[in-house]
Amino acid sequence: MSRLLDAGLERLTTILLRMGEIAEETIELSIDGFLKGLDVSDRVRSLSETLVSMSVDAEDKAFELIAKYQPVASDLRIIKSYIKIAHDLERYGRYAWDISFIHKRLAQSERCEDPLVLIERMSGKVIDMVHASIEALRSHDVELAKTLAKTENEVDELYFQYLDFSAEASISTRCLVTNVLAVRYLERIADHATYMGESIVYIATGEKVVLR
Amino acid sequence: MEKRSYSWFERRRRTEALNLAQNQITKALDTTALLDKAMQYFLAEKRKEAVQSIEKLFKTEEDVDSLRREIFKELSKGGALSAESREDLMHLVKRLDTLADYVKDAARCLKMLVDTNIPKELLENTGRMTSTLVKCATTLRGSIEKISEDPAVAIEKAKEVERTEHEIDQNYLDTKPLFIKYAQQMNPGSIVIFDDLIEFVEQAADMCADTADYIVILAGRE
Repeated sequence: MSRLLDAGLERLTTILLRMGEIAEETIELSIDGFLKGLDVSDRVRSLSETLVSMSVDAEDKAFELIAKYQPVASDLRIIKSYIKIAHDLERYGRYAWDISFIHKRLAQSERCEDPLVLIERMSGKVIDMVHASIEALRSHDVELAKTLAKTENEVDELYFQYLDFSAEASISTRCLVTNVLAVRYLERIADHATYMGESIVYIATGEKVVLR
Repeated sequence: MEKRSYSWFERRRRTEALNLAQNQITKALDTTALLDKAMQYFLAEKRKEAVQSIEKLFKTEEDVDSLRREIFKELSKGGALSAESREDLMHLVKRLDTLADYVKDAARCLKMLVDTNIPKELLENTGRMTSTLVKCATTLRGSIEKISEDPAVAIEKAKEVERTEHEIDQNYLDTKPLFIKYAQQMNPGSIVIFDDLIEFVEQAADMCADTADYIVILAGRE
């Protein structure tokens, strides 16, 4: 027999999956603009704001379900995890907006040099992680969620390589500062993808793991 | 710190969750004052005192976090409060917990920068942001206190929180371009940490405004 709680959970899941699609679009757009030297900040900001508002909706829905139905066990586990995931998805949008903002404000939307192609490689891995995190959310795929840890280590490695490189880089100050902040935001997106992975493992197994 | 009385809570039946929530709200808002204190010490080159304030802030934030867990545990038992009141309480508690979280993250960044030389203009801008954050939190506290007693005042104060948050936003946006001006005086690591610091302060202000939005809903129902 279907419970009233199930309908609420379904609604919450729908919000989260839609947020996932928007977050993916936001990050791809922001990174594309950054790498190609295009000003996409207005569109990215608008998408990021949509994610903020949807995150509030998701939290409202989650609290309503807890308050009305006092769920226990796996239902409560899912709702609590969904609150965290909504926050992670909102952060995806925020960091995408940060990248577009500094690109416009600090680098004046110019295409900054990336001599070692570290940013491009990092961006590719981050986009893969975002995609995997959303796919794992859709299917509650524990194995896919666990793969995020490995890619996150690779992103971290590239991030530190960029910081080492920046100490001796001979590119313009404007681009250097922009790039340093951009790689930081990419690294933070990767962190949130991994947090999502941890939440997905918890939803599916009840096991609290630290993937980082 | 002084325990405040929030009449919105008083009007509802006394429960353990409500007592805990009052305490949690007070402590969450206190973290902003501790961050500002640390920041002002930092600006005055009193680094040891800055670290002491940061340590106190960490302890207060731990209390906020543990109170939030206790409150949610109490609320999940159901009990004396209606579903609507439970939901309202969860919203307030969660938002203020997140606010305190961001304040703690900002303090952690400040602590990491304690032995580095940061250009004064950057510090002064950030000092303005943390002082305005205290103003934001104080106004929010005033708004919460008035929800039941005078909903119109609560709403007016909530709007004032919004305006204060915009000031912080503007300061935040004005500070980032300064990284280019001072790039030669700072290593990339310090720039990243400093950027995190101002971002966390801005997010704490966002959460302050977000809580104020919720107060408008609560006051509207009174």
